[in-house]
Amino acid sequence: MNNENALSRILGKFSGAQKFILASLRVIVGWHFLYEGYVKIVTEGWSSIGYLDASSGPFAGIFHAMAGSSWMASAIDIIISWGLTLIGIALILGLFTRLVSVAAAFFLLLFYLSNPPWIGIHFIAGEGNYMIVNKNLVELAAVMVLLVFPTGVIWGLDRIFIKE
Amino acid sequence: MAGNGMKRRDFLKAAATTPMLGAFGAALYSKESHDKAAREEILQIGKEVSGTNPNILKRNYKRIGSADDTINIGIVGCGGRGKSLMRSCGFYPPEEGEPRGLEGTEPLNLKLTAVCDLFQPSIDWAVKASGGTAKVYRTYQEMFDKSDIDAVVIATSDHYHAPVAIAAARAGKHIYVEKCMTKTIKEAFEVRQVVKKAGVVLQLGHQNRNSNRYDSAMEVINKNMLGDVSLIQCYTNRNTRNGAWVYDIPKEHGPMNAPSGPRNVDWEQYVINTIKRPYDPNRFFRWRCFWDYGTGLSGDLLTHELDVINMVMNLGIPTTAVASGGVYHHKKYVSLMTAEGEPLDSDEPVPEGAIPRPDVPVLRRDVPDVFQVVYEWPDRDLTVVYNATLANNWGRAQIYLGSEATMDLTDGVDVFADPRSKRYADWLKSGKVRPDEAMLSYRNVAGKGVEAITAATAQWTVAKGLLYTYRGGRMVSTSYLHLKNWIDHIRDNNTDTICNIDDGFQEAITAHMATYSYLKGTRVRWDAENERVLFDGQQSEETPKELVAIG
Repeated sequence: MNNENALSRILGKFSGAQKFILASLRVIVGWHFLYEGYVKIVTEGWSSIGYLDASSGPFAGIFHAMAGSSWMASAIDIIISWGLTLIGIALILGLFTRLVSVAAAFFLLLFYLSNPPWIGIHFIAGEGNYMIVNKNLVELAAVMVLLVFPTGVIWGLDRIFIKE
Repeated sequence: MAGNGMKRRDFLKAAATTPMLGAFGAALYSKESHDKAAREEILQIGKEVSGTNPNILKRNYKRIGSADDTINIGIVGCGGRGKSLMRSCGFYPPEEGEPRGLEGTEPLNLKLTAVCDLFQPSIDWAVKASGGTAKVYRTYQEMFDKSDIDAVVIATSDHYHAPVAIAAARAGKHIYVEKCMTKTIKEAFEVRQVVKKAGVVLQLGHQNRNSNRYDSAMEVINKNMLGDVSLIQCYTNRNTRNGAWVYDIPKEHGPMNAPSGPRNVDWEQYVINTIKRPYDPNRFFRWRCFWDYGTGLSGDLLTHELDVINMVMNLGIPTTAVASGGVYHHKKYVSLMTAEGEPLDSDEPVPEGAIPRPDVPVLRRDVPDVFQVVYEWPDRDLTVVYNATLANNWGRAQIYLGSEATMDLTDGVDVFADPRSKRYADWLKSGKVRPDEAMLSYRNVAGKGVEAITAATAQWTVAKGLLYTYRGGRMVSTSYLHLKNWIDHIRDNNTDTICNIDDGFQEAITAHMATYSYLKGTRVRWDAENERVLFDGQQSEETPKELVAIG
């Protein structure tokens, strides 16, 4: 708690613009997670199998193995869809900001590594052009910012959990 | 914690971003309403139903409350396809384990009591699969005379389909027969006549009719979403030796009268109703490569396409057929074994030191590996083009080309507005519909466990709905569903199965028109009024010399 209090005091000294931009970043990333999770929950028959099967790069074997096991793939589907949804809600609310930032970073790292846009690796590009850095990595960087500047303690429900 | 100490200002700050959750909800509601309205507008197109396809009723058949007594079945022809059908019926040696696509399905309550095959290891397999109770019969005639079966599954080589089916019908047995229903045009008439007279329930083995994508395809056609369909394209592409019917020949083959070695093949009976030739394992285990026993690409793979097109469009027999093709790629094949004498799979990489098998002659097929046919229905202003190669695996699929839209059955059902469509012009202009994006799309639920299917030919069959479909989110064997439809109709004493004798007659005549056209080098016509097949320049129904001999 002391640590959080200290953070709260430091963040409290930021300018209004700084606080606003950091909190906005948190809400925007949360919004993105929430909608991605929501779509996966409501889409009948959505499965991570296709994504895992399409994995390439040095870790492809692990992701293919996940898709190869029926029960594991089912578990992953639930973890991903509900994980994204809950992380999204928590980031928007500013609740358990540091914990969910770590969880979000973990998901994004997995997404990045399953299809890394590295030189010499055939990966699924989607729209845009990428070399080493792609949108997963950019969002991962954004989440790292949220982790070290957990604005939930100033503008978010985390504030309630911290005594002055 | 929140409590007395918390000031009002604190609370406001803590809840500062909470309204964003409300904003998210509002945005979500707005987006969902917008998408739903757009979807419903597109679905409105189909309000004016253009006509009702009777096949829709057949697809929705539900068994009436008939008795559930055990039905005794027999199998004639228990090779590759026969084994697979037995597995779908629930019969397999215990060590094989439950096959895919049967999990959670309703048992059919059958008993396998009679087996007839010309290869001893297949007989042994079937007896084991029956739990050791099935009786073995050397001939199908004997089976129909002496056994206690109510129904028979016929999965022989094509040249035996009609003779066995006719004998079964005369003995009052219900029939599940593999495609192509017959080997010749003449037999198609005979089978239809005998089956109808006997009143037995016949199911022709086009199990892919049960794939649920065709419900959507038929809805699209029924609602006239495509406008005038003038052309349908369909294809077969495979590029493996197995896909080209060069199957493995087991070590333990050999004719019954062999002076030495295994005596497992009843070759005498195999050639009884076709040209008598000396024993050749290629002609027994790779029978699809020869006109003496098979019906070629038209009877074997074209029928998968044409049968469902017939179901979706309710077309009947085409008025004309023109075909061409040849043996382009698989001209000859030398069967190999390792230095130790172990047979090698025709698709495996050849190890060093492999040598030709002394027990298998060089395979030289006479059935084409490249084949195309153009069918016309002038009364429907429609042409269907089929072409196939067994030497390339580039995936192509059924495409229905209409004046207003195109329907693609590659991965499911996708309907694309035609860029020049008049009906969809406003939507295309406003961007509500884009020509390169399906305006309507139907997909099977991406199944759990499709990963186990790896062979190229198997992948092809999955995509075409030949192996599995989905019922309530569960992957189900289409063969099981097809057999169940047959069994349900037997119990209900109803001959109108999902692929009944009339569908079978149409399938056989349609396939053979292409085969005869290719073999005789002429255009073939169907005279619907008199139910006759005519050849341009020759007013006869004579059977091409390659297809002689039905005793």
